[in-house]
Formats: sequence, C-alpha cells, structure tokens
Amino acid sequence: MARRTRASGEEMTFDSTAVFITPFLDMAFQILTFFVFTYNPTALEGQFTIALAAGESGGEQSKPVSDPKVAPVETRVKPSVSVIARSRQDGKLESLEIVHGSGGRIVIKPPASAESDVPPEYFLDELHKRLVELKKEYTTEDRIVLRCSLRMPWGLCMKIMDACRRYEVDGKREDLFPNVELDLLHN
Amino acid sequence: MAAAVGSEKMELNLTPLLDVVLQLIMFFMMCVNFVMDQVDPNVLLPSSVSARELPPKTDVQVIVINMEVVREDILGPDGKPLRDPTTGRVQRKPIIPRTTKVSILTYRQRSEGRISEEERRNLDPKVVFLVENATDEDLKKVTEYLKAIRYLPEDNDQRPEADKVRVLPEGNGIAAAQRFLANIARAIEATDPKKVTKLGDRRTIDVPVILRADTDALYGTVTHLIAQCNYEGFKKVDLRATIQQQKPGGG
Repeated sequence: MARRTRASGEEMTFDSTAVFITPFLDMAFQILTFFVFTYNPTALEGQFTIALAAGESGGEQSKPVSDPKVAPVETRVKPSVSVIARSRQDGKLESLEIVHGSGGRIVIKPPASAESDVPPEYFLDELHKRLVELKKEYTTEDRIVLRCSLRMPWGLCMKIMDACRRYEVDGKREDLFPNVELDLLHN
Repeated sequence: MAAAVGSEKMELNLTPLLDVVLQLIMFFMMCVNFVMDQVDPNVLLPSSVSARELPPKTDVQVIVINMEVVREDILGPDGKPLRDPTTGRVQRKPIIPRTTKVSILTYRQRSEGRISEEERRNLDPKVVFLVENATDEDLKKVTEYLKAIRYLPEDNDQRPEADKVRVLPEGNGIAAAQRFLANIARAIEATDPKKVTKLGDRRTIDVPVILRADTDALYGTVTHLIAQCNYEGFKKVDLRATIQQQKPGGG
C-alpha cells in the first residue's frame, strides 16, 4: 500500500496493509462508557386483562357508587366464588372471607394468639390453601369476584389476585381461578 | 502501540480486547431500556405472578393511564435523606394527604375526516392530581409541594382554563378524569369511527386501555377509574405490573 502525503507529495510506503483501529477503539470505549454509566436495570414489566364485576353478588351486596356517571358494567351470571378482603383504615389487611356455592363461607382471621399485626402473607397463604381445596369442585372457567375495601393498597390487592389466579404443582404453575373480576366493598 | 526490542517489533495484540469490548457494547445495547414518553418511570408498579410478557409493539392505538402516588424523601435525624443500605437508593414515602397523579395519554391519530381543533386538543396528554380527603388547607399545601418538586408547571396559574393542571379533591379529580376519557372517546369517534360500535345508547370503543397503577394507590381509586373507562366504552383494560417469579402468597 502506498500513499502520497498532502504537504510534500512524497510517496509513503508501508510494510503491509494496515487498518487504523485507534479511532474505532476510541469510539468503542466511549460508547461502552456511556452504556456502563447509564445502565439501569429495571424489573420486567408485564400485563394482564381485568374486568369489573357487575353489582350482583354471591356475597355482600355492593352499594351503588355515589357518582351517577359510574355505571355498573354489564349484568353477568352469578360468580362461582367471591373473596371479600377487609382492611383497616390504615390499609392493613383485617380479614378475608370466601363465599362459595350456595351459602358456604370460610372466614380467615388472625390467630387468637397473635398479639401484634399479622403479616399479609399469613392471610394470603391461608386463602391460597382454601382455594386450592375448593378448586376440586370448580373448573378454570368459573369466575371469582374479588371485593376489597376502598382503602386497601393496590399492591396488596394484586397479591390477593395472584393467590386466586395461580398455584404451583411440582414447581409448575397452573391456573386456579384465572377469571378474576373486581368489585368494591364499602365498609 | 509498538515497542522495538533490538531489531524485532513487539506489538500488542488488540484482537481479544476488541472482541470483549464489542461484546460488552452489544450486551448493553440489547439491555438498554429507552423510556417511552407514555410510560411514567416514577410509577412504582406492584409485582404479580399473573403478569405476562408484553405483546410485541404494534401500531395499535392505546390509551395509557399512569397513576403515580406522589412521594417525598424520608429524612434521617441529621435532616439528610435516608438511603437503603443494600441498594443505596433514597427511601421515599407517600405524602400526606395521599396524592395521586393521574396522567391520561393517547396517541394522536391521523384524521380520516375533518375534526375541530377542540377535538384535536382532546387527544393531548391530560394530568390531574387527586388529593385524598382534602380540605382547602390541604389543597394549598399539596399545590405548594407539587410546585416545589416541579410536578406543577410554573406558569400553571397563568394558563388558559383548558390547559391548567388541576389539583382536586379525590372525588372531583375522578370526575375530571372521566371528562378527559369522555373527550378522548369523542375524539376517537371523530377521527376513527371504525373503532366505535354503538348498541342503543351504549358504545364500545376498540381501543385498549393500559392502566399503570402505583402499588400504594388505593384500590377504590383504581377501580373507580376502571369503571369510568368501561362507562365511556373502553371495555378492555390491561393492568401493568412487574413480573414476579415467586410462588404466590409467599411474599
């Protein structure tokens, strides 16, 4: 390879063909530095579809919403199972109740020996166990209506929904009651 | 870089270095998470085992509702923000009275017919702050805080009424959000009538709503907003959550 210099016009010779990688390396390091400093791994975001239940209930009757513009969605058939989650004024879970079949009720409350606040995991585990037992009498097409207190934090409600929707068998996830609908509970 | 030793040339072999650098660049480029304008990164999403991976991006029109609970730093005894010992991040808590920023966004559509400027403006992003159990004093306090953290634009008071960001008691705020949704529904009807199906006085709009609700948002507020979406004809509401890999009920 031979090149002519601009200034003198003399011919420059090289021993072999060479690629100048210095600017390429500079650029590569700059890009790398940019990515290293701006790298901010975030949790993977997912989604699922949800529907609101109609005003009818298999458990507690929900009161009409004060704003007349908020109409109930559509009238559907009665839910197979209802889960009623009551919270205190500070949003902490107070009790869970499962209403199923024709008048069957299971109430999950903190154990009598509990002196302080019971963590929500206690309620969720109990709910999950009872629903897995109930599942034997139902199919995955059956609906479940979740009624939560207005002041319950959304994150906690999502955990209750999870307990209703999925369970694990030998490390594999199976549907429990995937058709969860939401309703309001005025307490 | 080369150094001569005697008559022989010693050259640094850059090939493995280059390989590693390029691989690292590729890794970071694949992992890079560009924040999209319709997604509010301040919304602390709840985690859920029910959440499935997002469908591939398409040109489908969607409405995105972000519900962010406004937070403040937790201060230590020395007046400095407390940091999480493991992550090093500043610890934050919802402000009192609890205030939820609701932003409603939709993609602008190419108009099939002639639509008015007002209908065009109805598709602009809308923001309203809902203050729980708010007295007049609370509203003033919250407004000052929102200005201090620049959630409220400086020229908010001078803006025309239609463009003002509102700080309202929760019930009024939900009603305002409902008006925004009604306006969006009207604008979609004007711009893309094929998306709207009418049955008597009820309509169904074939535009999904993506609801990104904060983990500390109140269940009542979230369900009221879903009800408003349904009422205005947006029947499909998708909830966003971070994908959790653990057993449900296990914390």
